[in-house]
Amino acid sequence: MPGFADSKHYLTIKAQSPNGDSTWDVYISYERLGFIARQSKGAVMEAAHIVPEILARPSAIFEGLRRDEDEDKYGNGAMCYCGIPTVAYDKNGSPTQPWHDEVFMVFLNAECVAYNWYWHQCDCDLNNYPDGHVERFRRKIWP
Amino acid sequence: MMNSPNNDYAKYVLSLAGQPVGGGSRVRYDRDGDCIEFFTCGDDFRAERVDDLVTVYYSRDTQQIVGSLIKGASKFCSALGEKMPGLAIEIKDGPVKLEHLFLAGKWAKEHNKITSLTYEKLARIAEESDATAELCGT
Repeated sequence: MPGFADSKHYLTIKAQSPNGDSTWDVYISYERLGFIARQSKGAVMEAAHIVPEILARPSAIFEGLRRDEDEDKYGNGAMCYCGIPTVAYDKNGSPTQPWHDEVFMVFLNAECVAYNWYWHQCDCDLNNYPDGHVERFRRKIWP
Repeated sequence: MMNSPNNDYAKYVLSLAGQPVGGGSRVRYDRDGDCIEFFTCGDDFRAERVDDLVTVYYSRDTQQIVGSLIKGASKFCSALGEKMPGLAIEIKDGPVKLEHLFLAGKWAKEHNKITSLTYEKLARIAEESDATAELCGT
């Protein structure tokens, strides 16, 4: 649980741990979810279904956002889970095929708070990795 | 049968689906990620990383910019404040205009022409939306 908060502020999701052989807890703030909910029904469906799916079954987990400005204030522990979910959602919340040539990314800070997620262009060779992953992250920690 | 945390999570998130959506620009500073997220409308989008500071959201319907993410926001503002004390006062005393952050981002370092144009577009959109953010803890 993030040190500065408690269950009043965060929901817990089970995620694959970076070593790949167990699960650990990831937190998402109620405040962020409330903000996302005003975006669209699709954003709600994405948060409800795709975020947990990617956290539970990522294609890869990267550690350390490489550039200084990319790092969160807690230092080098920041991680990114990425993958291609089984479905995507349009803005009305209807399921559709995952977006072509894109990968879903979920960003965590060092206290395991998932603070952002979105679809991004995939790598041209590894379509379940994000474009630019080599320059963007310090290292891949899973698989 | 006990609910798993993921079921509880999904149930809660889906309960938010009935809220009114869209309706103009929205800005939020996220303390967990030290980032500012900005949306101009409720369009579905894909993200494109511009550089270390900014990721832009493009509408899947119109291909136009419908939002952005400013990363390391408080760190960026602190660095700006050291160079520009006037801006530091503005940030400390109230919400910061995103337009100023985008323009500062544009001038903070050398960019190629496309990146500079993206920053200018973002600044214009932020100005039109009168987008501001409260940076807690800066």
